Amino acid sequence: MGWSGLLALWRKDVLSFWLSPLWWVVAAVFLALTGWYYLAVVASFQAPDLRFLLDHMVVLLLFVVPALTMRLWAEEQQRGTAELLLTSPITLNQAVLAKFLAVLTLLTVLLLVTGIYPAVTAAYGAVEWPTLLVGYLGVWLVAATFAAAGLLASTLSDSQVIAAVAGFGILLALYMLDWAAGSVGGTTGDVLRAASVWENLSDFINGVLDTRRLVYFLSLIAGFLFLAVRNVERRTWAA
Amino acid sequence: MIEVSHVSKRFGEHRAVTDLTFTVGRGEIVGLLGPNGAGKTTTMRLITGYMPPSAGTIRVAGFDTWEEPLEVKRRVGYLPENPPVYPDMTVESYLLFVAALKGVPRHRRRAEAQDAAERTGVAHVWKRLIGNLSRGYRQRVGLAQALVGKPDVLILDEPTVGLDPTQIVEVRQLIRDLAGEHTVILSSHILPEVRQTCQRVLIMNRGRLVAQDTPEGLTRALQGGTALRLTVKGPAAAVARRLRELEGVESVRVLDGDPQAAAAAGGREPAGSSGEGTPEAAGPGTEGGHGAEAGPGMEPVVRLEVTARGRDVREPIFYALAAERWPILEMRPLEMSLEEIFMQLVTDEPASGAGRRPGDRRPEDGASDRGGRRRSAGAAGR
Repeated sequence: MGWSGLLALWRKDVLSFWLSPLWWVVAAVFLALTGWYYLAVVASFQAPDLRFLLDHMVVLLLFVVPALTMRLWAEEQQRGTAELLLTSPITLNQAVLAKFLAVLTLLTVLLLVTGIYPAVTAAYGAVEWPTLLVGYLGVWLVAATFAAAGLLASTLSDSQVIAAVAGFGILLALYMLDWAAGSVGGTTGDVLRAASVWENLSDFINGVLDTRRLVYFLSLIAGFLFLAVRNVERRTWAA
Repeated sequence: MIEVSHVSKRFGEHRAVTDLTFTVGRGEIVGLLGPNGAGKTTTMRLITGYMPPSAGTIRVAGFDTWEEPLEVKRRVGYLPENPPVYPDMTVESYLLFVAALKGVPRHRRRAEAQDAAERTGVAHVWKRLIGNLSRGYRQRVGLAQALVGKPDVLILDEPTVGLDPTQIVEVRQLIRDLAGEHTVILSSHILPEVRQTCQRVLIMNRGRLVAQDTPEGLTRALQGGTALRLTVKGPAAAVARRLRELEGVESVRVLDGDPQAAAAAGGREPAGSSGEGTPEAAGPGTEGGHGAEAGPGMEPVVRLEVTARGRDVREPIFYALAAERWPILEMRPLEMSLEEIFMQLVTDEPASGAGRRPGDRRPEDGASDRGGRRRSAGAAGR
């Protein structure tokens, strides 16, 4: 009950992205830059290390994800279609989840396409597939975390531009948290390191699957989505 | 079907809706009428479960909008002020999406969507992108969206805005057809629309319900007395004075004629005289028109508005003026239009009326004067 509504909204958003020029531009830029990086940096080594590629993809996601997530809620607000969603027999949790899953679906597609690069490497040498797959899981979790943060940013304003800037701001803050973690010692440094996306990602990239890291990303995602729901509620009820 | 009980909604300090109570029966068409900012949209949003009330309860088909919003939303089709459509979708994909969103079972979605499209006359643009449709068509697609899933209750916020006259007639007919099968609440600030489509009118002002009745009932109850429009050949002041002496006559207002005479007679300043549009009233005090008319051998013509209460004063007026040898050129009863009633209600002119609660008047308006002026402006504009 109600899941058909979630499915319908997910499907609508995925299709809407798929038919929009924005998606194709973002996908082209992402794939061109990862491809160039792979060719120029990774493949030029004698023994190509695909971990560099994964690190590089995460940096690109910093820019790519806000561009995709900016429209998620801001556009619905701007067009007045949020009113349709909020008066349909679908809970706000489901609506926000549907939007999150829609953008995550597209990011998953992007990551799957980058599977070409390891495949090319495998054709010329050995690829440590287990390590790589765990690494990909880590990058996928980071993408999901960024998507949840971007979705939260999209609920802040009716303007997509503001949503994009705010989303980028949140991600940049996460990034800078990582810098700070590196330069501060003692307990504060430990806390910052525990909270840092890149610290938590590094285990995955090195092929180590740690439940704590998994919990870290899942709780970050849940937290951002919860805030997004609360924010929509607050804005709807107050205006 | 819909029970609204002591509902208030405030946004911070601003009270959008205050102590609203009304019920709507199954199959009824109810019009929500009020000036901009009266709280119509807020009221409708509250009923749809879009947002919860600050106080009070709303039940739709027995379900509380706060306790069981999903059950309410399942039974309500809502057309917001701006049609909630996606410009990058075709009518087809949009209505199928809405059907799925509303939980229509998969095998019935297409049939429901097509049915809604046919009823609203958008079936022939089925494959077009909504963004390429005109405002009127987009509005109709929005209406189709509300019909998908055959909800028990339809909430339509200004359903005919942006439509051309033919479409307006069509949509009004459609809404009338929907009654019985659906319970309809529509908001409007267009009075004839409400009169034509609705069985009952709720008039809102400043977040409060100021009156509710059938359109005819409102006209009857609020009219109170009768008003007459008279055109008499005779000296304005004297005619007015004579009419005031008649039993049952409540007020006499000189609309035009000799303004000085009118003033001398203690008549109200003829608010309409300068804006009346009749050539001889163009310049009060100019000797030209009036001088000629008032000249010897030629009686001036005066137009008056007479209100009476309790009895039919037409015969006494005839005999009285006939005795004075002032011929009545025109005598016409003025029926108060819904517009005037509306103006009276929302400007808080004292009016006796059914459905009007004593607590509804707000003294700070001091509006009897304002209401009177507006009312006369409305009457003069005819």
